[in-house]
Amino acid sequence: MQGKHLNEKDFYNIYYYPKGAAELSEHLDSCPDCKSRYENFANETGLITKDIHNEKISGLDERFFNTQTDKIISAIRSTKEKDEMSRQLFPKLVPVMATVLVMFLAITAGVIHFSKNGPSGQPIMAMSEEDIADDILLMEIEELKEMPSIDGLEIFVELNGEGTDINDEHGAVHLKKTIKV
Amino acid sequence: MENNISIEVLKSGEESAFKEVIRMYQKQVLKIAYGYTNDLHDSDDIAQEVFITLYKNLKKIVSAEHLKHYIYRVAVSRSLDFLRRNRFKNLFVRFSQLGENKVNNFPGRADIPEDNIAYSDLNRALEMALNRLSNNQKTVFILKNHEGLSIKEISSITSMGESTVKTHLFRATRKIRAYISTTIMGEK
Repeated sequence: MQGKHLNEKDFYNIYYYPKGAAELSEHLDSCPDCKSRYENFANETGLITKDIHNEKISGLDERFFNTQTDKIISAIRSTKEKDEMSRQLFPKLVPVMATVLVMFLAITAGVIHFSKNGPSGQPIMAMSEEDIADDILLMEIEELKEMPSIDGLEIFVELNGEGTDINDEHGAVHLKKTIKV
Repeated sequence: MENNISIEVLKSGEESAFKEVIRMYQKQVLKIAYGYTNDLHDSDDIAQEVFITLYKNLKKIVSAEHLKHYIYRVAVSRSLDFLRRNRFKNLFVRFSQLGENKVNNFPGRADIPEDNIAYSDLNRALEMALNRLSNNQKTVFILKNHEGLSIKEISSITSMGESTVKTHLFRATRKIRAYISTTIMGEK
């Protein structure tokens, strides 16, 4: 290191990591200029790295810290009580929740099953919600084939208890859209 | 600070042992939180959170040293969470408190004697300089200079590599030096 002056980074290393910067520190002993610059650096750095908050926190009175401790202990006790309540309640709730879950699954499965099949048990054609909302009429294909021609006849059909006249234009359009013969 | 806490007694949930831990570390935790918030009430809230979190995780503590690192880690983490939650509020508070001497705003704190006015100006400038650091730089700077932790300990607490810790420390110190030079000493 002889002949080469130390730079700012070297000063940081000496300041923060003196053990690892032995060679740099040795240079200070042999270079008055670097030593002088480092001493200025160390004084300034010491000022800006001091624990500025220590004085403030230490200046708080004992009352503050006792109050803080009491609040923490109170919160912990409250958490303990809640945990204890959960522990006592949980064994009783599990069978109730399991029963509710099974019933819910059973009902859901039943709803899905019945919604997929018509009253005769045969699957009905899928349709959009819009079509259902428009009271589309659906018939099983075999029944439709046995029927006389639609033209000139009044045909009244039911779906889910609600009926509509398919001879009007509205009904005929819907029937054409939904049934493939 | 001597650590005479029996970890086994602490983990059993005994209240008196836990109170002892609070007494041992509450000033450090409060100081760390204050380094981020510059507000005593917010720091108090954070400190309470830290100890409640510690209580819930006592089973994970394996040694006195682990306890210390865990407390610091949670203190830093909760403080950073606070900063993230209050990003815009902090910005507003920072601007509105420019020029205000916050050192006197603590209960039980004596008034600063006149001959210490220059000292408090420096402290105020240092606080503002700290606020200009990135979260990582601030964390490393506070833990190294205010808490006196080693690079290895800081690396363990923050999960950063030692080289990264050193880099953050170097940049943080440099930034603060530059800020103080321009604000207090008027250098350019």
